[in-house]
Amino acid sequence: MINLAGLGVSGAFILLITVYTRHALIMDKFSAKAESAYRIEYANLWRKPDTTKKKGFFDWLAKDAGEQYTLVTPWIMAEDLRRTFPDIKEACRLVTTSPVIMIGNQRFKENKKNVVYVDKNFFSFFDLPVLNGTKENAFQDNNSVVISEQAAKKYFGNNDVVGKIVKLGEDEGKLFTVSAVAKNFPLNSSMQFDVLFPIESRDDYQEKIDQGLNHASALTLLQFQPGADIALFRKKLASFGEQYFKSSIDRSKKFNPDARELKIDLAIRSFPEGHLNASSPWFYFTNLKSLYQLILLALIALGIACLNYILLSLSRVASRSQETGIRKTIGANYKHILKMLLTETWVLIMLSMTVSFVLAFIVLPYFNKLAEVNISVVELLNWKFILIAAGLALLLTVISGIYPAIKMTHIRPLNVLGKFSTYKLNPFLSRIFITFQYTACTVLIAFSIVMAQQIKFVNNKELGFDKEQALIIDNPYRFNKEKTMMMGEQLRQYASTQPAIAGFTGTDFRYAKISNTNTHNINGNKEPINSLIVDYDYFEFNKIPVIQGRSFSRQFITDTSRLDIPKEQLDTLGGRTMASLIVNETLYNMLGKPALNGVNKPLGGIIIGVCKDYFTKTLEQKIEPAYHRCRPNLVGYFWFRIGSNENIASVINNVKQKFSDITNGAEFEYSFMDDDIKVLYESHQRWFKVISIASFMAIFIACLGLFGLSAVVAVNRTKEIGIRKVLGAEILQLFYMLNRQNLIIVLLSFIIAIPIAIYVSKNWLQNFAYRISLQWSFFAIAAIIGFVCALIAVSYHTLKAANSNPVKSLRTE
Amino acid sequence: MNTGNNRTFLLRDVNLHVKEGEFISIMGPSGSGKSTLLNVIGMLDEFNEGEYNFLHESVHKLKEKQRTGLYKQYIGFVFQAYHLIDELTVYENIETPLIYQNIKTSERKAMVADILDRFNIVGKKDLFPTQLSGGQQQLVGIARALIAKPKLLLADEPTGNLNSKQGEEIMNLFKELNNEGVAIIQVTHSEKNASYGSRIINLLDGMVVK
Repeated sequence: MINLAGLGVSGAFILLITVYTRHALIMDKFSAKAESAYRIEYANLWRKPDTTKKKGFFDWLAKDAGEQYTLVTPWIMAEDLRRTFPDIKEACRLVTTSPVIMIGNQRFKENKKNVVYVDKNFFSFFDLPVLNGTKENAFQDNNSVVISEQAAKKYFGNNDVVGKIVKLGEDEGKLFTVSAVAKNFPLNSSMQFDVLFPIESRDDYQEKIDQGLNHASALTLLQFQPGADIALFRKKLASFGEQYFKSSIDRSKKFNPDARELKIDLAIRSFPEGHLNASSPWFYFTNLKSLYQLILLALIALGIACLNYILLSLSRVASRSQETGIRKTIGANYKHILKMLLTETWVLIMLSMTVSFVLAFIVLPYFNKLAEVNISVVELLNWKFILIAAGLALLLTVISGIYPAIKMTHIRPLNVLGKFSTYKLNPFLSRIFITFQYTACTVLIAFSIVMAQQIKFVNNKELGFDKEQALIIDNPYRFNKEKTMMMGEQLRQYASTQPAIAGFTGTDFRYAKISNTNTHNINGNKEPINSLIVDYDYFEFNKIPVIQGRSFSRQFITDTSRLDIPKEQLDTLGGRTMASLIVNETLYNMLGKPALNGVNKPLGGIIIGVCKDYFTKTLEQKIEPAYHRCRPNLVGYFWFRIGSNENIASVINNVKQKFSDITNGAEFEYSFMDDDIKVLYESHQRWFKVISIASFMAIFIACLGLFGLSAVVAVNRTKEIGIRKVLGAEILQLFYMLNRQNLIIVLLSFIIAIPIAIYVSKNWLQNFAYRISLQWSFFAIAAIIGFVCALIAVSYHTLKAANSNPVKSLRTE
Repeated sequence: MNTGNNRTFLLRDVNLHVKEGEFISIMGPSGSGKSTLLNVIGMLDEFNEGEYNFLHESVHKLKEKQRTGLYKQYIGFVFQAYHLIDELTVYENIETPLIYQNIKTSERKAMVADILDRFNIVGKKDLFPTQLSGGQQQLVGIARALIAKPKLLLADEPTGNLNSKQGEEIMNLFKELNNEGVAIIQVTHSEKNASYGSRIINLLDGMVVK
């Protein structure tokens, strides 16, 4: 029963991770053509390579999986490549979009995952099936649209939709005719499109083509001629890239003259491997690093479970040695007994496999959520998979069953039948088992304690601004200065009349989503500085103290206008802001604390104030230098502060109503600052959950092992216990005597575990620029938990043995 | 003692008074309850009915812990199968009861040395039980039973596994001990061994036969 539970639980764990791994491996291998496709990617010109983060073992395993390359390419590139390289058979461009789709009067807001502009060869390029018509002719002309089965059902209620009209966009939307229905995309496809428009249908198509290398937003995918030399192509492509992007490189060199590594590194990556790399925008991302970590966890779990099985079987050997002795005296030979024992092991392992499958089946939905994947039950019940599992079970039987079986067959019947002494477990072996198990447990427990502390720390860390009750809504008129200005004014007016709203401002960024970075020459270095655009009242709204100078004010017209700064006062090589700036302390210190209200050469603007440092990104990064400009007509988000004790739902409703009135019914999208912040740490939170579940399981299994071992000890020493009792030993003394060795080993394993735990924890904490310092108490608590569990595990059998009546164990007749 | 639905008496109407310094032999066929009686006297087995007074204590009213304390101090056991602890040396085997009586190390050393000396087994103190002959093992068993200076020695067929010469030596030792004032109750099959005692009690089906 114990065996069954231990093997079943760890089996389920392994099963899930295997399915997960398989899921990652077969992703995007839905057709031969998908497997032979490649995507274009290149190193980003403007990005400063991030060398500050320490790379661990798993980073090394995952190779460049964490590297972010640029995937968006100029729209003309596909055609240029095809002209240059005869090896390329065909190319396909993809541009995702998130439009509103109108079917009659029905309005559907779609997202980027489902809607895409593609070249017309899309379906033949990937060999994806189309229900009506052929893959080659899925799109008839530039007014055709292909929708998936599920979209057809969603929009029209049935599959018979060829010829129906789909409107892209609201009011002045463009009309398309459904030319074909695509079969739903395979489950192992990273692309899950529902609506596909021809790329040429875009009104701005020619404009984008004309822009040439100055605009990049399409993913470019390639298919090669059969027999093409891919390695050679890679080389040729790299040198092609140098030439092709020469103008861009030159331009950036002018801007950034001493930059050393301005290389474009144009490259291709196999399409099915695309999801293993963190570059965006891609359709799906498998985090290889955490996959490897999970596999390691699974292997540890398997190791613990196997060792455990051996340990527990040996304890059975001890209690069944009498039976074996009798079997031998009535003529069973070596083979009989081996066969009998292996069969028993086999049956048990098969049973626990079944338990594993059932457990995995039950846990799958939670696992999907935890690992952020979508694995269907079908994948779990794949016959190949079950076959592999059965094979694995056989292997497991041999590995974990053969040792106890051989030990048992070596029992000499006379020894067992005549005397008290039964089978004796090799103490060295059992010590290694316990050491291994408890080391693993302690590391896991300590690691999860550290993670819990760090997550608590990042969630409670003072961010330097007020994150509570801040409602943030999207500005639908972003990049339209007049409308934005008008909208901001109206909302500000509205906010001031509402008693439930305590403040109003706007920004062009959201927490942790700052993309606007300008490079300035400071102290002879190129420094990337965050450029933040804010509305009036930003600092007051967020309770960010301005410690020198003043905040932005309507009394100074220069706060919002472009400044006229004489050329002689500007840095000819670096960035220039031409604006009134409020800088944060980090930047102010970096600049060497210049006097306020004069032209600052490195920034090319006038510093009017210094604000206290506050976080604009996650705690994974150090606070970066930043300056704020006040540009109410450039904001992308409007911020409302809801008064405490107000009914949040009704405030949202009122704001939404007002928003709708102003914009004539545009999409109202909102979020709360504190939620946005929480989301940032979700991946850590998930990983924490995985580790804590794993550590719980590990300690459970390890305790089962110790439980079994204590049973062996109790059986083996029954006689001794009896004698000692007769000699006056008390139960506590016996308990101590029986468990002393095992408990000492458990303590020893803590000593091994703690350096490992420290290493692992430190490694993980490297993810954060702001982190807790490791404290002895974390490891002490882990050790205490492990020790108490071990104590409980050994208690049952040994206390039972210590309590037994010595008369029974000493009876000789 | 109860087994299943039937009430079976392993011992019945046994009325026994043992004086200090007495040497009693209990005899009877297999299954007559000799060992049970000995275990009850040794406070290892419990009994359902009746009274048991030891020195000035009413054993049947005592709690387990007090009972353990009582027999630890006053009673020593000798077994037919010696029941020495195989993993411990002769010295350690003899020392064990003293450990459980919380006697200090230095004192223990002196006491064990005394008894080793007396039983003439000083040279064997570092051997393990399996390296000794049956008679020697039983000698160690007796030494261990006597180390805490008990007032009562209980012996369950102490010579059962020994040849007659060894058995005789053991019985002579018992006699000697008895003369020094230790009360002895032994279970035996042998008339000859029984005759060493001052009183013989015959048991049959759990009852005392006159």
